[in-house]
Order: sequence, then structure tokens, then C-alpha cells
Amino acid sequence: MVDLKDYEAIFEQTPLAQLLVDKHYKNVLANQELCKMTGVSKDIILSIKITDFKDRGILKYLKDTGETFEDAVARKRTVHGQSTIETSQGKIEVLRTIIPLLDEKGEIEYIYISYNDITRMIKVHDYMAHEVDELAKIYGIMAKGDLTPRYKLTEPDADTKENYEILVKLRDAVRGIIGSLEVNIADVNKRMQNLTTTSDSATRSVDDASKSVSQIAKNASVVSENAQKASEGIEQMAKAMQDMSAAVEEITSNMENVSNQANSANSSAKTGAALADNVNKDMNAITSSTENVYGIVKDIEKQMSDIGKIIVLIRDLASQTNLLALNAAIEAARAGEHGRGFAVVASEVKSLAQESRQSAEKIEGMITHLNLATKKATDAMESSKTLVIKGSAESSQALEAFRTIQKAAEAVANSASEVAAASEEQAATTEEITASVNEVAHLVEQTAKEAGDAAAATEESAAAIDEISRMIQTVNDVAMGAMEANRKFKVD
Amino acid sequence: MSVKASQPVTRGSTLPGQPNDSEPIQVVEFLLGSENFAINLFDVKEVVEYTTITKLPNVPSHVRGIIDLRGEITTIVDLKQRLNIREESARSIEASRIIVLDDKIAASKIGILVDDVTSVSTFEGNQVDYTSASVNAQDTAIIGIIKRKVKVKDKEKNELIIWIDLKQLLTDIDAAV
Repeated sequence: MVDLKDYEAIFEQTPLAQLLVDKHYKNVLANQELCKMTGVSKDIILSIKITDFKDRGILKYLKDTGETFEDAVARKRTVHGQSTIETSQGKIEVLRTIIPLLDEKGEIEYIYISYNDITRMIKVHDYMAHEVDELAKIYGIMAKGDLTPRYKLTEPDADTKENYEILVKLRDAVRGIIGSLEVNIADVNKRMQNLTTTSDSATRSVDDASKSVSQIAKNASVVSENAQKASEGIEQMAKAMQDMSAAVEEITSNMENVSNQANSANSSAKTGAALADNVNKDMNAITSSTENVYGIVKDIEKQMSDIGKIIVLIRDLASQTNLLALNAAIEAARAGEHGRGFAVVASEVKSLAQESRQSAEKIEGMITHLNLATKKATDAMESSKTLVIKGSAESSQALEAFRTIQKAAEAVANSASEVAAASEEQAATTEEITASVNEVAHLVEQTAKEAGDAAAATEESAAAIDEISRMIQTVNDVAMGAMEANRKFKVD
Repeated sequence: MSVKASQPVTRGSTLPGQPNDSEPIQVVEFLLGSENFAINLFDVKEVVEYTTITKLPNVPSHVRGIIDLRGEITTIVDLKQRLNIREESARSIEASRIIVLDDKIAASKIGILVDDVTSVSTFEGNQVDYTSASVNAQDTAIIGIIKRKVKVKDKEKNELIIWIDLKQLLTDIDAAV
């Protein structure tokens, strides 16, 4: 037999809510914990049956799961169940453990019921479940790529505070991961962007390179052609150089001739200058002679004029003599036979007078003629004087001209010498040029060969560039793929 | 042209009122323009040189004026003007001559102006032609035409001298003066 008094202390000590019911379902023992849980005083509990809780509505059973008190009685074994009960203090969740206590006969003597209050546990559990569920939803969204949604954990109360802190830890850890991920994605995106940009520019560069290479190929062929042309040109140049060399030799010899000619011209000019000088002197002598002659002729003219005056006098005398003779003849005729002798004399005198007149007339004619001649002589003198002045000036000019010729001849001689010297120099230069031309020819050949090599190298380069182009395309594709992959992550 | 001694006189037919052509004639020859003229020697007193003539008013055009000849006023008649000869002399007026006429044929002292006086000549009567029409015409005062043989480039040819009658000419001159 169990002494209930002994268990009462145990009841009180146990932190679980406990109830002991006798075989008549009458409550016999209850601890303080149960009172606290139900909000019913111990006296009331001990004054009623267990069934009264439900039947009398002391406690409102909202939900029962698992085995019940009746099951325990019927099956005479320990059963477990769970109930949600509305108490005066609120809704509580309890785990029921119902243990039938059997006597020696196996009959039920007491029934021990413990109520484990799991309200708080449930609450915590529910809180956790809800929060985790919400987080899981968010993470699900994130898993699909949108990293932007955030879940703010429900503010905890005293019961859930601990769990809240755990969740915060978890969430912060995840947030850290997401942050890193975001950073990485952005970084990768940026890098990929860079990469694609780079690969684009690489593509362009490759295109450029390709163009350049084809240009180089063209250029190489042009260079090759040009080298060919240059080679021909250089050949012609070499020939021209030979011709030039010959020409320069000819010039040198011609210049010697010119120099000789110039020297002889110089000496001729000197002789000419001396002659011109003499002519000038002669001209001056002629001028003075002409002036003398002019004076003489003038003198003659004057004397002619004197003679003319005398002739006029003679003619007058002749005329008067003639008149006298006439009158004498008249007188003689009038005298008749006595005057006959006188008439003869008068006639003779008349004929003398007539002869005198004729002579005077002749002389007059001669003087007129002489005057004309003198006039002509004077004119001739004048014109010869003019001519002499002109001749004098011209001889001076000739002298000047000869001096100029002399100077010019000297200058020509000097120039010819200079030209000869220059030609010699030119000959040397021509030889140098010929050497240079040969060198250039060699270089051009080299260039042609190198152009050929360049063409070959260019083909190789072109192939390499194609390869690079393909590689860049691949890189670009990869980068694009990576970016595409990253694109599903939505980040801030 | 020299004055030869008078030729022997030969007699020929004599026309009425005309000098006997058998008588030798003595004349003074002178020039009017380019023609030779002659007047009777005995109508001439002397020949003088040209001197400045003082013109007279209200006289016929052939009266040139007057000169002072050795203190005597002498009337000068321009014979070319009187005979209507237009031909000018090649020589200057100073070279012309004045033939002073004998006092017998004029009442006053008269000189005639001619271009030149060439000679005093004697011609035979048969050298003078009195028959030509011009000679016979009135108012010409021509006595006859004297023919003189001259040699021109070894050819003999007759030079004609117009022999004029001064007395006839001077009748009106005297009236005028």
C-alpha cells in the first residue's frame, strides 16, 4: 500500500505538474505546479474528479491528440497524449503521461498523470519553424539568382530571444556569404565586361592587324615591284653616270679650249684697245686739221667775195667804156669822113670793153662756181667735223668695248678654269655616285629579297592572326557565357 | 659785133617816099625785150646810163618822167610802152640805157628809155626790106626791116632788125609834152 502522504512531498518537489487519481477518478494528490499551470486552486482540484475538469468546464480542452485517460484505464498501461487547453491564464500546450498504478490483483488502484507544459517549446518551435521557413523562401529566391530580397526576422519575445539570436547568427553568416557572392559576381561581371571589351578591342586590333598584315603583304609586293623598277632605274642611272663621266671629260677638254680662246680674245682685245686709242688720237688730229681747213676755206670765201666786188667794178668800168665807145662811134659817124679814123678807134675800144665785160662775166661765173664749191667744201667740212666727232666718240666707245671685252675674256678664262676645276671635281663626284649607285643597287636587291621574305612572313602572320581571332572569339564566348551565367544573379 | 667800115654803096630800085636803097644807112641798134631795133644815127645825140626818173603827173603812160641831164630837163619816153611791147627785160632797170635825141627832131629835150644799146652800124640799102605788110600798115612807125647775116653754129642766117621812124613817133610825144 502506498502512503499518499509520502508522495505528497515528492509531488511538491517535482517541477512537473502532477495529479494522482484514485480508481474512482477522484483527484487525490496535486502539486503546486499543477495549480500554477491550470490556475485552479489545490482545494478545488482535490475536491473534484479528474473528469470534472472537462465535464464541469473547469478546463477547456481545445484539442486532444494521442491516447487518452480512458485508453490508459482500458489498456491498463502507460499512455501518452497531448492537449491544448484553454486555462484562465491562457492557452497552454501539455504533454500528458498517464500511468495506471495497479495493485496485486492487477486492478487499477491509482492513476498517475503528469503534465509537461510544452507551450513555450512549441512557441519556440513555431517561431523557429516560421522564421526558418521565411528564410528558406528568401534563400530559394536567391538560389534562383535574385540576391536582393532581405528578410527581417520577427522581433523575438522573452521565450524566443535565444533562438532569435541563433537565427541572427545564421542569417548574418548567410548574408556574409551572399555579400561575398555579390562582390564576386560584380567583380566577375566587371572582369568579364573588361574581358569582353578587351576581347572586342582585341578583335578590332586583330582586324586591324589583319588589315595591316594584308596591307603589309600589298606593300611588300609593291616594294618588290618598286625594287624591280628601282633596279631598272639604277641601271639607267649607272649608264647615265657613265655618260656623265664622258660628258664631264669632254667639258674639261672644252674648257681648256675655251680658256685658250679667251686668252687669245684677251690679247686681241688689248691690240684692239691700242688701235682704238690710236684711232681716237688720229680723230683728234683730224678734228684740228679739219678746223684748220675750215678756216682756210672761210678765208678763201672771203677773198672770193672781194674778188666778186672787184669784178663788179670791172664790169661797171667795161659798161662805161662800152658806153663811151658807143658815144664815140656816134660822134665819129656824125663827123662823117673826118671822124672815120676815130670811129675805128671807138669800135676797137668798144670791142675791148666788150671783151673786158665777157672776161669779167667769165670770172663772175667762175667765182659763182667757186663759191658753190667752197660752200660744198664748207658743208663737207661741217659734215666731216660731225663725222669726226662721231668717230671720236665711237672710237672711245670702241676703246671702252675692247676694255670690256678684255675684262669679259679674263672673266671667261677664269670661269673656264673654275669650270674645269669643277668638272674635275664633278668627275670625282660622278665616280663616287657610281659607287653609291652600285651600293644602292645591291641594297635594292637586298630589299627585293627582304620584301619576298616579308611577304612569306606576312602570310604566316595572317594565319597566326586568324588563329588569334578564333581564340579571341572563344574567349569572348566564354566571357559572354560567364556573364550570361552571372546575369541570373540580380545584385544591387 | 664790131662795127665794120662802111660797105661800098650799091644802087637798087627806089620806092616812092622811101630812102634810096642804094645809099648806105647808118643806124644805132638797141634792144627792146629780146628784139633788135634801130633808129637813124643822125637822130641820136648821145647815149647815157640810166638815172633815177622823176615821175610826172597827168601824162600818157609812155612818158616815164623827167631827168636832169647836165642841167637840162629831159623828158624820158618809155619806147616799149609806146610801141606796146609787153616783154620785160631780163636785166635790171639800172642796166637800161637812155638814148638822148638830137635837138633837130624834137622841140624839147627828149630821151628814150631802151633795154640796151648794142652798136652803131652801117647797112647797105639792099639789106633793108620795105615791102612787108607790117611795114606798110599805118601807125606802126616802121621804116623797114634790116636783114643782117650772122653765123649761128656755122650756119648763115638773117637776123632781123626793126628800123623805126622816130619822127613819126615823136609827133604825138611832143604834143603830150
